[in-house]
Amino acid sequence: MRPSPLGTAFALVVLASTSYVAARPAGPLPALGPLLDPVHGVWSAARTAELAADASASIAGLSGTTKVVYDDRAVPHIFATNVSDAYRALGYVVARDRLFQLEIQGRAGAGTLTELVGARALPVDQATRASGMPRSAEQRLAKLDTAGASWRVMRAYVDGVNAYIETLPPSEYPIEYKLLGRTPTRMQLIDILHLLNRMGATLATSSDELTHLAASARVGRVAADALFPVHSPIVEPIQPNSDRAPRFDAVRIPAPGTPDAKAVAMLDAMGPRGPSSLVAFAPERTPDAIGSNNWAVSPSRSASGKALLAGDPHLELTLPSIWYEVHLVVPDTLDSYGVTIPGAPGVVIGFTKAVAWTFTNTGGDVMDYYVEQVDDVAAPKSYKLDGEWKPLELRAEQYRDPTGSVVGTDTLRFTHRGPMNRVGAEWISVRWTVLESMRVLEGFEAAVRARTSDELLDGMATMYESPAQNMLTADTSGTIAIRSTGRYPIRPGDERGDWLRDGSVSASDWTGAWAVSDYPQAFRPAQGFLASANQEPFDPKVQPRYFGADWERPWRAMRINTLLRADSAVTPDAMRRYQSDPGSARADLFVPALLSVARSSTDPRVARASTLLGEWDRRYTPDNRRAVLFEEMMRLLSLRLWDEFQTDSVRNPIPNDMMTAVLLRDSASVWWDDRRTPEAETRDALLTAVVKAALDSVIARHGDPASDGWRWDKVRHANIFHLTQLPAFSRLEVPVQGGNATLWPSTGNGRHGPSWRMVVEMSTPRRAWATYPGGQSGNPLSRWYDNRIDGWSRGELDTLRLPASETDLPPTQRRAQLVLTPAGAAR
Amino acid sequence: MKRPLQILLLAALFAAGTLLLGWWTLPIIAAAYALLKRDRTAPRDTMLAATFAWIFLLSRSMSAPAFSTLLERLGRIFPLPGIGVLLLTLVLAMLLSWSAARVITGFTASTRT
Repeated sequence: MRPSPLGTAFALVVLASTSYVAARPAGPLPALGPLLDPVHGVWSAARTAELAADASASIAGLSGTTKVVYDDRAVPHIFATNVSDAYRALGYVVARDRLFQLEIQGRAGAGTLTELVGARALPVDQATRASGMPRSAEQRLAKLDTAGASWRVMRAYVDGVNAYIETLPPSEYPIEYKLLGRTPTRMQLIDILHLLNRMGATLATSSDELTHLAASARVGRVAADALFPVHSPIVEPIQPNSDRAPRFDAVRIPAPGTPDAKAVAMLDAMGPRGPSSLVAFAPERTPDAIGSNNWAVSPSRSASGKALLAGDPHLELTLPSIWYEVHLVVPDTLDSYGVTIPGAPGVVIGFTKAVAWTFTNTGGDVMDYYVEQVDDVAAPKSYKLDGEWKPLELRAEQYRDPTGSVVGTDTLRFTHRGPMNRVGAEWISVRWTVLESMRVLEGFEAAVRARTSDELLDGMATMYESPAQNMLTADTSGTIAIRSTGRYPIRPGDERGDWLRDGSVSASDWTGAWAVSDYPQAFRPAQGFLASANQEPFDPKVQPRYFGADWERPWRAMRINTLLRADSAVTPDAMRRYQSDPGSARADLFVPALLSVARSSTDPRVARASTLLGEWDRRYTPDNRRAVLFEEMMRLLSLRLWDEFQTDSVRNPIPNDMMTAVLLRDSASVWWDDRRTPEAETRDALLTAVVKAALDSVIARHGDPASDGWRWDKVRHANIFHLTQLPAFSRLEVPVQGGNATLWPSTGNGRHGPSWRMVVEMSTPRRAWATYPGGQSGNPLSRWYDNRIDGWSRGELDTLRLPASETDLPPTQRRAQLVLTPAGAAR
Repeated sequence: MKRPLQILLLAALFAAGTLLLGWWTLPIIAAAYALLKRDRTAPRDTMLAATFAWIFLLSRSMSAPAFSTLLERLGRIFPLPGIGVLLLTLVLAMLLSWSAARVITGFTASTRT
């Protein structure tokens, strides 16, 4: 019997449609053929989830055999015969575990994400390029000394990465590439600079000018100055001031004034979304997301008589983690353990046999905005400077999709200060130290060679420029020291950098940089400990010069200093416990104030709320059932107290709760009046109303106070998203022990938190403990992908393996090995 | 005995094609087989053989410890249970091979008349 023509036609339709979906991507879905191919597609990811127990590879440029031993925490210990080989091997092993991350992070800094994920990334890429970061990377690469240490390290690292990519069969491409239907791209030297720029965007952007502008437009310049001050009114500085407790400086907050006409006009000219567009390239961060801590204890206050150091940098939490743990050993030259960022050659935070170091973000003002006058608002070619028209540097940008097609174009403009962008009807240029940093890598290279804390900090001070960091060190001689290292500009006139400056005169330009001797710093402090938590580093009575504005609230600094002052025999385990300490200086200040007012009320609802709040031990433990009530009170207090700032405006600054604490001392201030109500509230009336409303609100949202709905772990979590944001590769709703402004601050969206926790005892031999929320592998199918998250969530640290040689690890602590040999050499 | 052997050999050919060149060899090999065989059974044979071949190739991944994790995660990415993605893979192999062979069988039959 002949086959029916109808059946043939049907088969033709099936063949055509199946071939189409197999060969062509459809919407966000990649082509199904390569994706589901049982050999080269997504299924092969199951076979390559774990690294081989015994592997070898040949790498061009390697000068000697380099052995890599992976311990039982999946940490590679690299044993090389020279430094170049160590960095080449580092590039190789990082690519082996984190190839997709390497590429996406580099592209994020280069503004070329569209080439990986298509046109949907166009707005992100446009913002990145408009920031001037990619141009700056190109300029700095061109200026790098090709005979210098930075160049050699960068070259070796990139060659190591590319050696891995070149030998990688398509079946072993990371699963993300398969889901996107892409292939890995070779790494370039400039990608390292793109990554460093990206870190600058994360850590060193500031928009104090825009905050002040918006605040002045609401309540006048005088009140804006007081509410967003240059100096913190609660003083607990990084550079010790010999006070034994935090100091509350007497500050009077003037009444709201008339909106500043110039500020209103400028904001109107910028448009409703204008100001925020200036920092659109910086990763989004809620105000309570800041949370890095570090502290060190001198031998006189440690139980062992050795210096102790704790590092606890807080960043956006991602899977894979921003950090990759590694140990580099070159006999008699280098023995450096710590974390590197995939794409950056070197240990960023860690320790050697002599010195340990860690950072918190300084937050000094290193970014200024200038209002420029241009020849043509629609398409300027010149800008006015000191009465003369100066040509703008124009730079044509193209954005391409993965097929190479152009999906967007831009013309970027640059003044002598930096990038200039249109904001509504205004053109604003930016000067930013991140775009001018040349020797960051040399700084890290010097750090791993330092023999003392002094050497490390002095080396960094001459080379490291941005993002400015509070660099804390401890060494085997017992020295502890801290210095806020970075390049800090000197501005003309009052030196203030928190107001928009006139770009039409060169007299607005920076006139120099701070001398290192003027930086916030302390060496071998008499108090026997040092701590930083992003607070204002100076006591303004000691150093009143402008260094930044609107500093991070002092609550974490107050808490860690309280803990350290109370402990004269600190152990490493105490250091670990402090990192997840659930206590809160903020709650210690506000709860008594709320209770004192509420207890005098005759309203039964207020009395009940007061009783419930009084039951709270002021600790944000996961099973705590009262923290949620306090947080609601604080939320409502901010809303009602700062009603002057409650607008629909996109850029709507709200004074922080340090200013609320200041205002608590002024019960008659007009700020306490919620102008949206007919009554004229006093402090006590407002606090009472807040206490009552908070109870109603929490019951409505979370049920009865005895119910599990009030448990803190039902309210706050860590949400650790994969770099692609795919929930399937993410770990969401991870319990945390911390709240607003505790040492483990838990933010509203759960996307920020402790990214690397480390405790080091500078004994001989060294002892160290650490963890981070993730795992060493970037493969979502590997058991090493997120294996550390549960322990991290409980506040635990792992004991680090510190082998002196490749044979030093006992078999029980040895998971795998990789032998790298020079290309062409026999093993 | 002849037909099972033919299917087995065809499956080996499909497996080799996928292994060496990729998924797109399925319809090509199926069409070539149908052209040579000129028989109404060709579409069914190719479908069976392609399915066997891909099950064989998938078995390497299925035996890996991470396979259950992969199924679970793929199930969360696609709007399907994890096992559904696996079945979709086999359905893709069936459709590509069957339809290619069926089209050729139809055309060769019409050319003969």
